[in-house]
Amino acid sequence: MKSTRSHIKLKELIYLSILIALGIVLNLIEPPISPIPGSKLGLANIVILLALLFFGESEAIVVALLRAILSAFFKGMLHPIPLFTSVGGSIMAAIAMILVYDLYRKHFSIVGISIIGGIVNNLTQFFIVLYITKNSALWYYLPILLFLGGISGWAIGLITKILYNKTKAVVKNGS
Amino acid sequence: MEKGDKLLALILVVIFIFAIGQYAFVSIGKAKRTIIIRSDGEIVQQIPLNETTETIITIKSKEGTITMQVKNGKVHIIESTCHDELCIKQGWISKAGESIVCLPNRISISIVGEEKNEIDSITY
Repeated sequence: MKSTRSHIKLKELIYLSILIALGIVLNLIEPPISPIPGSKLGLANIVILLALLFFGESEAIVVALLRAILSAFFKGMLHPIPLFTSVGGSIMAAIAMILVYDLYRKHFSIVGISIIGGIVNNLTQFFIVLYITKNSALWYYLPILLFLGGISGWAIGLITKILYNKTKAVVKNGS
Repeated sequence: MEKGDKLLALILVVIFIFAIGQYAFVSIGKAKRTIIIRSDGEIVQQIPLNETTETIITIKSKEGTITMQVKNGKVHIIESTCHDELCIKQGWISKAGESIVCLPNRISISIVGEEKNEIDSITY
């Protein structure tokens, strides 16, 4: 009994490590997209959603935290303010997605959960930037940021759904 | 599609209409424009912006320095000490409501408009 359990744990650990590594690479190679400078689709969120679907809430938060921290290391000479903004955005998005998955799973599909993640990510970044610059003129950009966050989340959700359906047989049963 | 998903889609459509409407509305009828420069969260300079304004300004903060050029009623960043230089990549801004933010330097530049149009002078 004991050996079986540790076997399952080891398999889970390997899958989670692969997800974190994938998340770091996706985040590093992902090209920025217009129209707002520095904005990205957020491909790393795919691995957080996959961790959530395959393993559960606590595993997903571990993947989200490790992915964000390790990505920062790999990026090297990043300034603390943009670093805080990007890490803050992705961690808040992960928390929001995990909470919605935990509490309102019946009402939202994985695409819906991803849309919420995208919106929360941009909302968090917006308020950090607003706090740092103290520039009230920036409210002008809030609606378009929320919209772009939602659209990015939708795209990420669709990709996750396809990947989940294609890999679930292997991850859940395969050896 | 679940119930919550439909609600989210509806919210996104509403936000989109609002964003488009706001963008179209804000840029109309604000003839008098002012550039407001903030460094470390404080307003450091205000410059009236019109078609003939032509200047190059260097802005300092505790974190670094950026250089801004004003020409033909538009503003852009030509030099920055920051690492990512997103502020330079953003290019020109000219409409009331638009901003350029240099996050690593804690500097932001916004164009603010005042409503000075026909309707106002008739109403008052």
